[in-house]
Amino acid sequence: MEGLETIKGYLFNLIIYTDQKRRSAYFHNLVHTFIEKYPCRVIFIQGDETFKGDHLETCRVNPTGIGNTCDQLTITASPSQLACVPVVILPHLVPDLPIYLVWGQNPTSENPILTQLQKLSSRLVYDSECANNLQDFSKKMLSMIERIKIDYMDVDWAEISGWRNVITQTFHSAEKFSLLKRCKHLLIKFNKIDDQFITHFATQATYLQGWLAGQLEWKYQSIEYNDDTITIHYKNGEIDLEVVLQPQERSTLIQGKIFEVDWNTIDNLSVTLSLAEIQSKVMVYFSTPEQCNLPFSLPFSDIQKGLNAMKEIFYFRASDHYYNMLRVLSTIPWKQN
Amino acid sequence: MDKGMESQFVNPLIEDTRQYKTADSCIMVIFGATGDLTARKLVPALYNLAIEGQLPAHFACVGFARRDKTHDDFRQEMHNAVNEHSRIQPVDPNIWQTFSEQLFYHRSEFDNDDGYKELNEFLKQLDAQFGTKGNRVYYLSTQPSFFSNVIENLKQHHLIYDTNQESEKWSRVIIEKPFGHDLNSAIALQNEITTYLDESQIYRIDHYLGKETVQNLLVFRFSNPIFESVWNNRNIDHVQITVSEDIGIGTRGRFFEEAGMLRDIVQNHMMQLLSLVAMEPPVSLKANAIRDEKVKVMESLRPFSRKKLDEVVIRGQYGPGYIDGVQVKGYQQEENVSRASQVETFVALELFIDNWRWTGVPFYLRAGKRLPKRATEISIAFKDAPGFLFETQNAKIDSNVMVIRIQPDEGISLKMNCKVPGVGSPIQPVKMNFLYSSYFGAISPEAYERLICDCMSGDSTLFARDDEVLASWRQFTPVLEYWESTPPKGFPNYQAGTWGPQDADALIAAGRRQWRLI
Repeated sequence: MEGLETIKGYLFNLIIYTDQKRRSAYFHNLVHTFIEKYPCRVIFIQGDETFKGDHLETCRVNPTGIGNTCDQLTITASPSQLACVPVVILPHLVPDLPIYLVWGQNPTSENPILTQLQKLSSRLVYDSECANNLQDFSKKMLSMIERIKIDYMDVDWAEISGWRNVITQTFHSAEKFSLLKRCKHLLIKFNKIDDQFITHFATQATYLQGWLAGQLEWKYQSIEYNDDTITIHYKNGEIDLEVVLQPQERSTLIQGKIFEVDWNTIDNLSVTLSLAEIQSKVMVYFSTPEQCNLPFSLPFSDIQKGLNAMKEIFYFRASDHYYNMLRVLSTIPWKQN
Repeated sequence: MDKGMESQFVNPLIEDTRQYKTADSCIMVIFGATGDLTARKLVPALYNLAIEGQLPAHFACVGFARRDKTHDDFRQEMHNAVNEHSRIQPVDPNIWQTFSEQLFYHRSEFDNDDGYKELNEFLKQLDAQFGTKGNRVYYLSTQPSFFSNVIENLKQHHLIYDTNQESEKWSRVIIEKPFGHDLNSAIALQNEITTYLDESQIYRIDHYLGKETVQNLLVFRFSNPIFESVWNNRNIDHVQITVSEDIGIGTRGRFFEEAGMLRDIVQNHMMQLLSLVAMEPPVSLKANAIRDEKVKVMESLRPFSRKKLDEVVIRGQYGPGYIDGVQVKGYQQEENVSRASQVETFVALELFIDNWRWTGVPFYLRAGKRLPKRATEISIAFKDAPGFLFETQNAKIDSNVMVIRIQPDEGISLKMNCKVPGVGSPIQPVKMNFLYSSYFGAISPEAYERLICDCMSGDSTLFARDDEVLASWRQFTPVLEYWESTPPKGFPNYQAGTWGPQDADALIAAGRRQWRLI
């Protein structure tokens, strides 16, 4: 009824930690994506190195524009007070509901509170955007995954779920799959624009080719950088395969988002998957030098939409494919950022 | 690549943590495309599937009807229909443009031989244009009297395939209820259509099964052992299932005069709800595993005793009254309804399921039009606690009631007893309440979207099987025959806006119970 506050139910607890102010705004936006559709208790922990000495501040806010659908507790802590935070948040957790921890830092770097917060959590969500050295990150993640007892999800892995789905559906049959075995060139185009939140704009493209390399057992040979374009050479069985990650500006897309994937085979078959303007579908084009087949579309699930984000980040588990991808990435000397 | 290699192929790109369910490429032909269902439900459902990216990669839809129209006429009409009835609003012009290019119209009578020949040729052209591989869904949105005719013609013109051809392409037929109007006609219809179709090609649609809250019944019952352990005659006193509508029969007078409430709602929708509430856990979530358990419920229903039929099956018909303060006419004054109609717009009945789980537990069902509000719910009333503990406090202990609200205000509530704070205080019933709208902001797909998508994927879980339908008719045909031979006394016998005839209250009062006030 108009004038009455409506309290929605909580589905889960969401703890978010970052000590980079640059990333705070990004995670606030991410939270909005979820809570519009899936109300939760949000505990936002902001580590702040600019505070010297002991500083611990809590305040309760309602996320802007959402009204009284769920509440958010914001905790700001100086480095010396971070160790208190896991205790401070304990009474604010809604019991009997899942606790999801979004770790806005490199999860492989030392941090006094990650271990404590992990003990409370049923799922750890992390973000490889925080990693400056992808090879190092991958190696450490491989080691961490073997020790971790809770579910985990990498946000960038979730971001490419739509592409993994459409590629799987495109090459679903044995006949279509055999094209991948004959692939000699793979081009992945992704968006690069000026963005204060995301500086490692090639991560999703890197992940996608890493997934294919892991599942199709490509053997790494070498890597080259030409400005922002990355070329990785693999052996695809006996075939020399060249994978090109090419940034282009697409102002309608978010930073790093993949919008086209092209395959070429040794017998000059070409397959192109192209994100349609409406972004809920991908157009698929098969062609040979002699003819072009009629294109068709496949549904594309975009995690910018709340339901898909929820499913990909909080409900689905990272499969063995993620582990295989990390193994590939850990063998490649990526340029440090 | 030969089929042997294909069947052994394991795609390394498939992740075991994900479910891949995509509808297969196909052409859907809607027979009776100029009817109400196509405009209100079917094409809006297809459009919403397109928006959500759930339509197959290669798809086309052909409306088949006898009125003279062009493709563009049909597209314009469907555009208007989608504007009015689509779940997702506003209609996206870009998506509509792409979607409408997949919509076509074919004019023919249902019994016109040339019409089917031309349809066959047209569909082959669409296969070439859209890559739909020869797969077909035929949606019979027609009067049941046309089913056999249409199916026979489809078969004769090779529009329906033999199942041994279906390794390369498939054909499925969706038929709308009612599946016959009594047991004999249902058997006859089944025999007719299975002359041309295998059971695996038949998809009997009951849109209640497509509702999110109805699908949740299985999850609720079988993923929460706390409830399943008390879901039996040791703990449950009775079950009430209510399908209440505040609207009248509207423009469906002609249809309703032939059907009545028992055929329109009780025999199909309510039996689906009953079987989901009463079934045993299935051995798997495969379609037939679930349907097997539902059929067992139907086959355990105690037949009605003819001698007691008037006491245990109550019929009613609404007279003039008030709904939301607005005066409304009685059923006999509705359009296309006889002024002396004896058709029931209300049914209440008492059923028993004779099996180990439910022996002795009455199931009270009621369904009616022009009742005070729109509501579909299942209420499980548990047995009373032994009262001796709180006798000295003169406390009336309410029985626990679990209510599963199918629509509106979708959710589940549990009534339990609590002590009122204070010294020597009474006991007060309170409710634990789960509301879908409070927890899940995403809007659920409409039932038809889910069901059409399932048919295209070849998943028949949410469609009625032949034995389910026949078992239900077996239960209710004696009632229909009795009613046919024994006209009701004093129709109309309840005022619009009330909860039905007094005899319905007497029915449940005979068991020392009362209808739940919704």
